[in-house]
Amino acid sequence: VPGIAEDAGWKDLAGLRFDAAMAAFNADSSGEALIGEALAILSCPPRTESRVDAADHLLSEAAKDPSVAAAAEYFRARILQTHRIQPDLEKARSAFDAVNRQFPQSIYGQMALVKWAMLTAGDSAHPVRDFDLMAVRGEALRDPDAVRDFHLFLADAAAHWGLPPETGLKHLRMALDSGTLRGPQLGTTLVRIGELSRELGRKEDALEAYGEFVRHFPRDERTFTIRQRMEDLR
Amino acid sequence: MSFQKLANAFGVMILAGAFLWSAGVVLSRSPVGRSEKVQIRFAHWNLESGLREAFDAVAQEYMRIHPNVEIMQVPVPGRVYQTWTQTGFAGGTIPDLLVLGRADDELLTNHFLPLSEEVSKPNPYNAGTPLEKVPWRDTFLDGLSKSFGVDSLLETYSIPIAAVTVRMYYNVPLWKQILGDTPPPKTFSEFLEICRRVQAFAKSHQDAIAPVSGSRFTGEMLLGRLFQSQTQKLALRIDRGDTLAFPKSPTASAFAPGFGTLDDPDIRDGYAIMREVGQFMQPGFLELDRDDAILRFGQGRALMIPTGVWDFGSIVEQSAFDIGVFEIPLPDSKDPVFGKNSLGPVSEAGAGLAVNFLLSSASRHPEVATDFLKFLTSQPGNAIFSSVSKWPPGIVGVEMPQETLAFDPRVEGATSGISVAPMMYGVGDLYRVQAQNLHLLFGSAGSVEQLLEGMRPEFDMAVRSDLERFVKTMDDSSRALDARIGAWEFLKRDGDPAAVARASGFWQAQNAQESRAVWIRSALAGKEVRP
Repeated sequence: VPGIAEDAGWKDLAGLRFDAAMAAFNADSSGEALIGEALAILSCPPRTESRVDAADHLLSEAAKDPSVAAAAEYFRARILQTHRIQPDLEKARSAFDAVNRQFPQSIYGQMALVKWAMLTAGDSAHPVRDFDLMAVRGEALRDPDAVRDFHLFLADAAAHWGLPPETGLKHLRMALDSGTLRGPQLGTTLVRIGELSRELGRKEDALEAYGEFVRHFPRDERTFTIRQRMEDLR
Repeated sequence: MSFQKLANAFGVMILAGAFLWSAGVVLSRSPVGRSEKVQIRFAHWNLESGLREAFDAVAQEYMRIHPNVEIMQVPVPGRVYQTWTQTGFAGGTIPDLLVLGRADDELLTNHFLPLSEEVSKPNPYNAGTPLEKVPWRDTFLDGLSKSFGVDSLLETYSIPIAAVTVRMYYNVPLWKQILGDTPPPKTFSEFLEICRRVQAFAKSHQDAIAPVSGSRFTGEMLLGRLFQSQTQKLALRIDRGDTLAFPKSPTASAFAPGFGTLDDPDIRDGYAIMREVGQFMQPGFLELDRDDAILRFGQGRALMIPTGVWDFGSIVEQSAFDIGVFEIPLPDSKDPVFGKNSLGPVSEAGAGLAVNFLLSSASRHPEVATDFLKFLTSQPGNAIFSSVSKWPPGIVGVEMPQETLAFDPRVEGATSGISVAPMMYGVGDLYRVQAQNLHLLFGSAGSVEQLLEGMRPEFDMAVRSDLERFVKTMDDSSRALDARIGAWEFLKRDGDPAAVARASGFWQAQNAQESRAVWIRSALAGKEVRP
């Protein structure tokens, strides 16, 4: 059962009250509190190697607690990827890979695969091979948020690497089917599904996606164009 | 007693007297802390005619409903606004509410409070109206879709109050004198013809009348739009993700390796149309600012002036003649010269509302400041604002003022094109490179070719540095989301739907930002190939 101190600390951290969060987490020595303290340190300026080292140390201690080990290892990989002044992307990629393999059921383990895919794609010399490799790894994802973000990224990869439109469309659909897309990205995903479906001659699919877009985003600057597309298809 | 001692005693008495007088003055004041009323201060830079009066009218009505609250308006000239706000942030003197034109994630999270929870609840001041049970967010014309922080932080930080569009104003008696009964133009060709007739009139009458009152600002209003009319199709061609909306910011993303280039015919045509119409502004207009252009128009030395509804009050006040307004006609597909690049008129739907208020995290009464914002953006409050300022309302169901009906946003239209950089209010190296060379386009012996050759040596470097800076900003922003993701992941364990949604939203925001950064870096590494 989480302690009262942790919940207060997380609320402070969510509200960006870092000093208060630090004080709340300091009152406890659980693994969860160590993660909270580490995140508070990483969020407070200035960003220095010694502070990042301190956060990493707290996370390595937290990783000894099995109930929060996935989160702790995930954020250690984030330190390698982005919090260090000089990130080590290759080490970060390996670390995310390890987090995913070690904690495949955890949200952190699943989101680690999203980060791993981004680092793999960013450094890819063999896009088609790497795309297939990523797609296979993604089949194990179950968390709806991870499914959404992973397949959106693969759809982007398909577009940027010039893969067939069917490939991009398949991953956009999987992202949409996760049911967790929200805000402007939901609108853009619907437009992309509509456009690719239209390009592939899948009239009904295009109309359905366009219709959803118009219903959800009646005041978007693309709505008039989309309505015209719908009229043309009918 | 010596003279010296007497002089010293006299000096001490003067000092003591001055101290007592000062203390009396200070103690007799009613400072913020001693007032029994809750004081809410808001600052803005919109000194245009009618706006301060409109804010006052809304504040008076609010104070009538809430006699225990005092609303104080702090208008600050635009030229010093940024410095003034930065000083306020540093010194802790920022008002409760602040109007900003833009704000990055760091500024938002460090100095302002999110209003996401508030905007999901109905606005109590809409009681008795058709919006009574509608969430506050959905009472805005754009559904707050362009509110600061929505895209990157999934939080609503800014509350806009008005819809603003740009139109062409004209001097009605001068129009009749020069053009007779010719109606306002409906097409770009008609607009050019009108400009040519005005030039011919000025020449034959040895008059210094310009068809269009020029300045760097009015240039951006008119020529910037015309440029984007020429890049509508290019924006779709480089839209690798089939989004129908190539990102407008930073403009450099359209010119990353593998995307658009300076030599795209559409870009050349964009500059060509700017030169074509720029010749109808008075020579040297690039060196003038907005006030110069309004003054020239008010003096009857220009027939037309392109600007936004925000200048309506000032222009009417400064002009001793009737004013007409028409929508700026962009080239359509039938235009013989510029039609080939055009997708037609541009939609103004969802373009975003203006005059964005943000709630300071240093506010001593954030709940009262938020309540005032609710009143300002309720149907009754926004109607007061709109009727006094003549600015189009930002709230669903509030009537447009009759005087400014011509500014009603166009809903039926295509998406706009891309630009290399704005002519004004831009930032970054691409903006600098274009700004330093624009004279090569508009000079009497200027040309598109000269402009492009002037920009070429620094263009690729400018694109690269702007994109590298942008990616770094995205890195900073996405890194900062780790704390929130961690927090909401732990807070959602009880199944609270709000916490679940927050965690989900922050993951989505972070991964979307990082994905975009991956592809920008990939393009900068030369890995993007234009289809």
